[in-house]
Amino acid sequence: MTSRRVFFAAMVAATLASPAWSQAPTEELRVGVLATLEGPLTSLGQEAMRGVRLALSEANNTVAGRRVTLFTGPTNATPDSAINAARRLIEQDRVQIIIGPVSGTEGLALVQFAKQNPGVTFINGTAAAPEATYRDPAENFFRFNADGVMWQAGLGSYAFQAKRFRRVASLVNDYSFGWAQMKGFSLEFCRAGGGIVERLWTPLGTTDFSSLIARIPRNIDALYVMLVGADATNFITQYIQAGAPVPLIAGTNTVDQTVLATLSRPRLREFMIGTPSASPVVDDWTNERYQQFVANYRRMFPDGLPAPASAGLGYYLNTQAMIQALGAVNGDLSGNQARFRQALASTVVDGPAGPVRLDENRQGNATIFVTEVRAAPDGRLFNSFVQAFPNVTQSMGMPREEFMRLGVPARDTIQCP
Amino acid sequence: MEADIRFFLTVTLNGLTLAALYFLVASGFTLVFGLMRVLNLAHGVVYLFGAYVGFDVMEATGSWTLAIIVGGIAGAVFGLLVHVAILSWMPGQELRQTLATIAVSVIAADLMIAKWGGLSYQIEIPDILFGSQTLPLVGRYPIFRLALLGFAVGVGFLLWLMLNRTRLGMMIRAGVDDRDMLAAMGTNVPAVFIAVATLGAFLAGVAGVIGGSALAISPGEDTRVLLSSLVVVIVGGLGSVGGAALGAILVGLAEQYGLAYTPTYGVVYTFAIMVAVLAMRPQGLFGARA
Repeated sequence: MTSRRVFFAAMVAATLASPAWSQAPTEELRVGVLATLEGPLTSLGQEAMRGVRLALSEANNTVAGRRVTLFTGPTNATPDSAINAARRLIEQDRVQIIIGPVSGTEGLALVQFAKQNPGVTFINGTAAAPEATYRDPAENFFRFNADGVMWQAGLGSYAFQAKRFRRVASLVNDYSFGWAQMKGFSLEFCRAGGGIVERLWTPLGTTDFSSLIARIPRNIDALYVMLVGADATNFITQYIQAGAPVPLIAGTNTVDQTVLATLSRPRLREFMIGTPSASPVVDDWTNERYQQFVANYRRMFPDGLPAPASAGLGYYLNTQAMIQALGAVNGDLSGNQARFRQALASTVVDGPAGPVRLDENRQGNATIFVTEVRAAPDGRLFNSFVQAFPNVTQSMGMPREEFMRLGVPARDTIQCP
Repeated sequence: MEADIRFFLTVTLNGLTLAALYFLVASGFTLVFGLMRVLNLAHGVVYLFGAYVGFDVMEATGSWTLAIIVGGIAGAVFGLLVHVAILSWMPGQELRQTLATIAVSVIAADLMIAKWGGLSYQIEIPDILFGSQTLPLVGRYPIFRLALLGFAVGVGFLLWLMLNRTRLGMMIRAGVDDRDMLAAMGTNVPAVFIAVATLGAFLAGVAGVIGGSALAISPGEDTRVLLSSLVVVIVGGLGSVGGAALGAILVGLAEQYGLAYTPTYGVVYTFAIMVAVLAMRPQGLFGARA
């Protein structure tokens, strides 16, 4: 039984890796997309799909004269579901390129999977665990979106200087993306002289936050919250019902449109106004290219979010990179996709927030915005532009070695009690 | 010291109010499980369906009470359909019935994502229930959670009345103990099954609307709710409403103490309780010996 399975796997691998198969005169390009279309991050997965479809429709679903056929691999934000979906996309749907996934831990698993599947090119979606492209990257894994540490650029300093928060506590989802965001925030907040007096962690998918809210210390200026999807909606409501003693500083996903759009009660909206955050997306930036991106998104998805969220932008950038690189090599995926990968590595994506190019680990740079929540005249909440930080790199402007010494993102990577 | 006591009391209250929600979901589950010996794994999606329907009713009419009633009815109709259209075609084949309910839950969960999307929703609660109330020793505490506790006690009392003071209740209790004997006595057992399946699903639908008001409604809630109901019922014992109440309290408290004192291992306690009960008293704390 086992040997038969090994034999089968070997055959599949051989078929995929063989250049003869890649050179077969298939007219269509088979592209797989991994997205969290089930479980607690479903809203992010749906937003991710919008990003892919927007980029493809701008290219008329055609690259170098070949039609792009999309295959969807639904996941539920767990690493094993991502691997299963990726395996199905490769073995059953015979895709040549995989775009995705959404969640940080899925991304880490997919990098290992990419190493075992050298015949397929993996382009990230919006998974933002830094390690995916930092310490032990895969040759065939490319990431044009920023990671979770980069997404918090500027927030720690802004919270300290402009908001005058000195002592804070934190409540963060306990997985690779949460650790990354916490590292990004504390990097600047601690350096500026702030103190993080208590760190609370909670698993992704927590619905009842009441006992964690009871643990928030009283003598603090603000609470740094980085919860994703439904967790954020649940927390914000329960926090306000419990009296909401201090203002919030929000992680990227905690105030993006997948969450803000779910807050309908006026008291929730009023409380959220003024909450600072940092993100690769911003809802009211006047930059022309960015406005065009937002307008295209709204035109194509009238039922979508009021403005694109980070998941939409991430998938959009990564899909656009694929389209540009395929165009540059005229759709040539021969030779184990070598030419395509070379083109991908040197592609400069004309991103909505500025050009994105990859570093030696195939990780893109990014423009990051510090934002504050504001209310539109109709009461809807949005993230208002405060400041832009162009060209944020993965080591946050520090020398690579020095940044490396700060350690792998974990619960207590950067301390300032 | 005083702060520690206050913290402990707050967490205890959190555990009890969470238990109230678990009880609402699990009470229907345990009746169905105990009487029909069917592990109805579609119970979670009935909860979610009730919640979504309740949300739509709330948005359309602005009446929370109506949302609860319609959500409950929606759940009941769903449960009735599953029972009549699927489960009653394979009587006595427990494994097949269980597998069929898994299929129903997977399909229904995806259909609900197609209809309501991936965003999380909250059912708006009436203004008088929003906000917090100052309690002695505990301090400020959300009013809605206290109301939740009262509601669960009320539902528990009604269920107790129904089971102990009505003819249907008598038949249900007899059926839990010995189904064949009940049929031999001339009772129309399939009709009792239909009544219980509908009642169980009604309770799940109501719990969905209440749960969607206390917490948020989002894809994936169905499996979470199902899992906690399973644990509650296994701990409490098949078919026992009292057992479901005790099981819910144990699981709710374990979850909240875990989250408050040892957040990393919070999840473990619930299952530790389940393992302990299965090892010492496999029929559950209040369960009759099989």
